[in-house]
Amino acid sequence: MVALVLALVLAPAAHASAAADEYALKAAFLYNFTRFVDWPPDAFPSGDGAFRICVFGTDPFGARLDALTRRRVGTRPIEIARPLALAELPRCQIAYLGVGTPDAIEAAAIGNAAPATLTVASDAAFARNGGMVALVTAGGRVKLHVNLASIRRSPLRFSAKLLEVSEVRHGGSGGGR
Amino acid sequence: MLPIAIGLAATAARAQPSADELLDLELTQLLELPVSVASRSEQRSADAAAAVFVIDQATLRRSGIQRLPDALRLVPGLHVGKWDGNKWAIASRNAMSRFTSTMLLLVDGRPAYTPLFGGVRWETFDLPIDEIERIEVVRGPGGPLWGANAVDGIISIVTRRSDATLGQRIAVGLGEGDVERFAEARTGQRLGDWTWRLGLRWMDSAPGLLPPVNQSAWTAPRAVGDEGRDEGRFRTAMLRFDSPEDRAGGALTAWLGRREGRFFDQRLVGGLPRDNLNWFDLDYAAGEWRRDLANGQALALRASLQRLDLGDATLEDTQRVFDVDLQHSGTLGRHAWTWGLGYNHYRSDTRTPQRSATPPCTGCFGAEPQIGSDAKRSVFAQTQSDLGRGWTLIAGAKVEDSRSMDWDTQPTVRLRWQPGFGGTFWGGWTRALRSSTRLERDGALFNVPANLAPAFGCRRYEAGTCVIGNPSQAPWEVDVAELGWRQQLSPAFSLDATAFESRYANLATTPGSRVRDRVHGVELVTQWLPSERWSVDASLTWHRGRDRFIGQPGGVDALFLPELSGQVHVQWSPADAIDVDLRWWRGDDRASNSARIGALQGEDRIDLRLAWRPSPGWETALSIGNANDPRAVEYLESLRVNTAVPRSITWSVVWSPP
Repeated sequence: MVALVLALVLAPAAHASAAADEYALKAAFLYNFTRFVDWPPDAFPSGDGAFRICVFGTDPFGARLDALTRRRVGTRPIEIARPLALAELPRCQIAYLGVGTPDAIEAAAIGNAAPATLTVASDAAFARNGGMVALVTAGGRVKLHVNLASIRRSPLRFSAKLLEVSEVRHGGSGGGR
Repeated sequence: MLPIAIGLAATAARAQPSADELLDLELTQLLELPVSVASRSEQRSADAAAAVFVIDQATLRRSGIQRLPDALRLVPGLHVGKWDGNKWAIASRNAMSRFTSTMLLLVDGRPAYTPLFGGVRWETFDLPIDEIERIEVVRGPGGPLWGANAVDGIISIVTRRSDATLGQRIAVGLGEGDVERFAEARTGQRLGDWTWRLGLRWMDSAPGLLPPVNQSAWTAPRAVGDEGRDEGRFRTAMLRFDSPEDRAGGALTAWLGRREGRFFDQRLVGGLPRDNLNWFDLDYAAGEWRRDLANGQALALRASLQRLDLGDATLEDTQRVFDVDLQHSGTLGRHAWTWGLGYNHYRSDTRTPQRSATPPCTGCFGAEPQIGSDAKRSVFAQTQSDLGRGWTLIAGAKVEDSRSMDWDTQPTVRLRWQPGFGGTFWGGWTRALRSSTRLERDGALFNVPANLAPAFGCRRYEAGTCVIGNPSQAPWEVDVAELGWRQQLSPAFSLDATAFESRYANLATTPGSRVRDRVHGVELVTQWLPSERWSVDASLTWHRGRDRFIGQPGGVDALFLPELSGQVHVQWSPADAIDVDLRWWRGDDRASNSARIGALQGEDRIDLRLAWRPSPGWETALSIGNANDPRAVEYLESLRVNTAVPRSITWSVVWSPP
């Protein structure tokens, strides 16, 4: 019995692609968006040169976003911010909305207030309600849901490659733009 | 456990791509990567309209806690009292005892309380902490979702998926005062596109210390500080299989396990302690099938079979429990819905060994008839409706039928408001039930002389057998009103506050017995993350209850739990390879003034841990438990000799090759 147990315990483990931590993976998606989305020059109002990724509300990432601060977007260093007020939104190039899911009216309001901010959340309803991108965990993978109408209304330019691998969602009030 | 936990962290780090590695992957690669932890539950805890607290793997690992019931000390608002080397009394919000019967324990979704008395024999859960993904605790009622017994709280233990623990891990430790020695071995392998894990744990527990006469039910003079006679040994084996999460036809998980324990206590016979061997043997098999349907709907089916044999010199019981549970969830417009069906059957064979001993006992306790069973059928449904503007309405109910319930309803209505960013307000009303237990229905005293039958309060008396149980005992009932507020006050500081009032009905029914029929309280939990290397968790709990004597009007204020209790946990990593942890609990000791027996004694407790990872795959740790008190009496019990919790020290080494 002991021998059997030891044999089992000491048998070499097969190597294989291991599963990723959900929010470490989502952090990597946020970083990847910087490669596939073009922000217009006036999307950087502060002029300090940093590329700001903001997490609003409850932060599911914790320290997992820290790795991004050692990277750059073009020449801009990445800065992680966790603002408390929605008024900060226009200063963020990517905004992850961590609490609840904005409904269609809120999503439109966000779109109007900060047209050049890429809005991201984890709830599938987010893209339906007019948010830009939802990182939806389903079937053990993270899937991309994008709202084409919201993206087209914004001055952001999404690469075809990003749209190709995403599932398109429709909905949201469309806001006043 | 700490070493274990550490090793597992190392394992996890090795098995999982690091955050940095992930950043270098292409978009298409990211889309292909499996996700190890469905954090739906994490999100749920932030958004939940209930008092939820989650202990995650990292916290468990860093706590250094070796025995699962002690890990529940980390939960704010949960009261944990260890009353000898191997027994715990754990309660939330209401009176506590080893026989607390209003908490629902789930292990991977399987109900794990004993139908004998409705409570949890915590010593039978000597799980390797390394294999636990997280422990979710809901303070307050959960009957509408989880069904009978989820009255004062739900403790849900979720074990790690086997694809998150591939490779080997060995942990060994030596100690004094808590665990004398332990060894854990784990291996995780692939089998086609499935994964499996075998985990083994051997643990010998240390005896407690004899407390002073005024802190024990055993009132004879004794050498205070001598070791008690309550050491034990526990053996655990767990096997788990997981299919890929995206398997065509649905994801599958299967569990097989065995746990056994042999441990001593001393029972009081004629006021004198007598050595008493306790034992349990537990075998279980369980399976789960989950499938995502079209339109975002999901199905989950879970079934389990368990056989538990336990006993000591006074009572033996063999329980077989079969449980099956189906859940179907989906969305319809702005409504998310879940409904489900459940069936639970148990059979209990309860023996009283002394009944036929020589000389036979008089009035010894057992069950009549010796074999009893119950089948519970239930249906539940819950909807969550997005009302817009941040408002969400949650309503649901469970109806249940069993020997003590006749399709009784457990409803809940909850409202959640998330007005802006970072805040959640919630409130709700819930009714929950606790079904009558086997011993409440069939409890009996044996070898009672006919002339004493009236004095024993027999409901039925025949040939020396005096049935004191009430077969038509109604379920306990509780109505709970709750209000909560959860707020991210700054990026580094969060607050979670809950206030509640619970009113109970149909509690224990012997005239003259004392019951707690009203409890209210406030629970505050904060977390502060001043920097990457520091984390400070603090909580404060205020609970107050009113007791009533059955058959008498009015009530008395009483405290079985500390009225005010709190804890502070500090985690500090001065370097990447070093962890320092400090945990401090404090409870006022007024509980002991009103009711010494069966009351948690308010005590300070300080635990310390230092861990060092000298090279990849290795960790060594030193833990000191109860550092401030060489002999802490946490809980008094009247039927057994309770012992004091000694100051403990545990040294452990974990090897988990990268």
